[in-house]
Amino acid sequence: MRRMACVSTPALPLQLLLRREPSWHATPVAVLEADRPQGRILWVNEKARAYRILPGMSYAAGLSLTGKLRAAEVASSEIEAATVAVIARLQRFSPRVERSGETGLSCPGTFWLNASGLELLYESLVDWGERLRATLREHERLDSTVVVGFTRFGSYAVAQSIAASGAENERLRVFRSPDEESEAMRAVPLERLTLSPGTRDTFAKLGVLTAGDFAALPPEGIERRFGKETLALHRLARGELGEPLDAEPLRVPLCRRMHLETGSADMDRIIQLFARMLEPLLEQLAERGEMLRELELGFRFENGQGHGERLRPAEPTRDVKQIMDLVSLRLASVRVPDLVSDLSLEAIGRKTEFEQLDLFTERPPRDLAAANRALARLRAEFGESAVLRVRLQEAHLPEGRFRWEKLDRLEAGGGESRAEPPGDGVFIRRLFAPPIVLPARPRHEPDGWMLRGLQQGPVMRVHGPHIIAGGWWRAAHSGVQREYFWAETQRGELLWVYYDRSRRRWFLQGRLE
Amino acid sequence: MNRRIAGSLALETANDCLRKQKDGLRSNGGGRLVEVSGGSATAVLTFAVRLLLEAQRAGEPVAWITGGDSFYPPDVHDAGVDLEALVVVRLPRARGKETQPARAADHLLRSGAFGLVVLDLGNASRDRALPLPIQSRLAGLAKKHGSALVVLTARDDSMRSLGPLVSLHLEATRRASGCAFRVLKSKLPGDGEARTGGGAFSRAALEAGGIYRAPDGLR
Repeated sequence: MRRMACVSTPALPLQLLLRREPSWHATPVAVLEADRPQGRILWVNEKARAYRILPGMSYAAGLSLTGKLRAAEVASSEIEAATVAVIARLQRFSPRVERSGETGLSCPGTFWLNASGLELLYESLVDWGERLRATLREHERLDSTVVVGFTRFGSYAVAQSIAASGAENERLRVFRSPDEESEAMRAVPLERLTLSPGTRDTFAKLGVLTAGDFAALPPEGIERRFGKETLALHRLARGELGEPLDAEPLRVPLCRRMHLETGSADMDRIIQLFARMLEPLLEQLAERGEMLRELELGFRFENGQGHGERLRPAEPTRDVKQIMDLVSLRLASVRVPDLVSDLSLEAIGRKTEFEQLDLFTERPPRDLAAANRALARLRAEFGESAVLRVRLQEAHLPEGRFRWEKLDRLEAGGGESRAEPPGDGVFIRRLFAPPIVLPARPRHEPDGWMLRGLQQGPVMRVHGPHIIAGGWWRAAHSGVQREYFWAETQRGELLWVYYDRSRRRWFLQGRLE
Repeated sequence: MNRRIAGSLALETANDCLRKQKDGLRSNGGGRLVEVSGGSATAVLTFAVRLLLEAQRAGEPVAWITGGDSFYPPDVHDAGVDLEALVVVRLPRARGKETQPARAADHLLRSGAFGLVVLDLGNASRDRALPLPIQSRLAGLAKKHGSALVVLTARDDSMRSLGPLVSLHLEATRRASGCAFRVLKSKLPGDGEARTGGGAFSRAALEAGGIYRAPDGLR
């Protein structure tokens, strides 16, 4: 039986904006048609909706509801570049991928895939869908919803409904039968589909509240009363459009393979071989009008094992020297378990149009592109998790009040504009992660509490306690109760310690420096 | 409950030094290797974070490299630093990889794109983490690009600096009356002979200029 999957990257322009401005995640955000006071708001996040800022309003109107609103345009070229990148990823999961727009629907970020026969390649369609979502999240930093059904409209309607509900554990749905899909589709509220607010309100007055009601409407008069887009959606709902898929041309991955007659563990030789494979790939990218965005290096060893490395330059580039520099840095830390018998190199490209817009934006005095190239070199040499930024978060325990996030690139406009003017100084603590377990205190301490041994001398003063407790409402012994103290030693160290009541141990959390 | 600790912020000399570095860039190609060390009552992190803030306010991209435990981010945020714009390179400490933080500093300085790079060595062995050949290379890169490389070390009893290429060696100390530092060695342009050792506080380091807030629970 033929299977149809709908992949939706909900509110794609909004996701692209938040990808570009990661610091805006915690604020109300809107995508504008034009960056001026009367510019129309096109997309908003949930935080903006909480202030009743809705698509269709003007930017000025949104700002009047909250001054915290952050908004910007997302160029159509950026949306197109992201769409092309997503299609390239989706084509690894199905050879037939169609983007929305071919059916007359204007719904950027919605794609249909032919999912027939994939059970032979994956454990199940659930496994297929999960891997697809993980790929988009990891490589494109986009959230997505995947629905595997049997019809174009059924999978699309349920995908739109799930995307709007926002529950993470419901972002993948696989229907077992056409009836199951049809039943779910009929229940989808009409407001989840891409209809204009006016059309939606009119249908509501007529008692057409669900996708099932909508599909059951007679076709006569829909175009005249509600326009071409609504007609396209109606035809889709009635199954009059589009099977089979009008698939995007399959972008053949740019890949080179090489078999080594004599196995080798000589990394210098292997790097030279990769360089030889790279040049024709860059030429092919140039023919496509693309720059290298990501490079995947593959090894197969004589013992049958395989190994892969993935590299991403700071900016899409075709600079051989820069790329090979990253390859050398990465491979310097790779340990081969056996002689290498086969090599593969795959180049993933990106259209150059969008990057050229950066030429005319204001640049800080230091070269940000050079900074990002340095960060790419650091990642190549020390791994993807070496270059980070820190994000604060709400929590009671000190170690929970922040998290480390991978830092892909530095953006302009930081630091200078956001660093607070120097006022009072603040003493800074060094945090030991994990906290250091201290020896149990003996009953008698004739020389005082030797918290850090003889070298630092005994503790002379203790300030505290400052108690942090939580989780007491859960099962017994599962809560946290820490009594924090500052302990000043004879030599002057100021140590941040705590007594963990549940574990009955002292820990050294940090030190004032 | 926070309690203000009235104190003297002896940053003026250090800020002067860093300002000279920037001026030196325009005149004779500044950029310096600076060492900040501290003993038991150390204030190296507090001092380094203050430098971060000054650098950010001056529009300079900044980076922090650590090979182990490092600053507590909420304190750095409270100090006014823009964490979004702070690049942090975290490299796990491992035997045989002591020079990795220095190599990371090399990448950052070589780009010429960072005005301030802080290399937090913590308690790591200075000689293994920053042998002289590496120091030489880093000092050269800092000078070439007008960047400041500030290395945080644990002071040993001899108070010796990392090496002859350190143009400014400061000791940052937390005192009951606040936060103070003294110049252990200075080789800045116009200073004539290097001033080393001592026990005397630099006159510029004395005057009260700031109040420091202590973390929760500390009186």
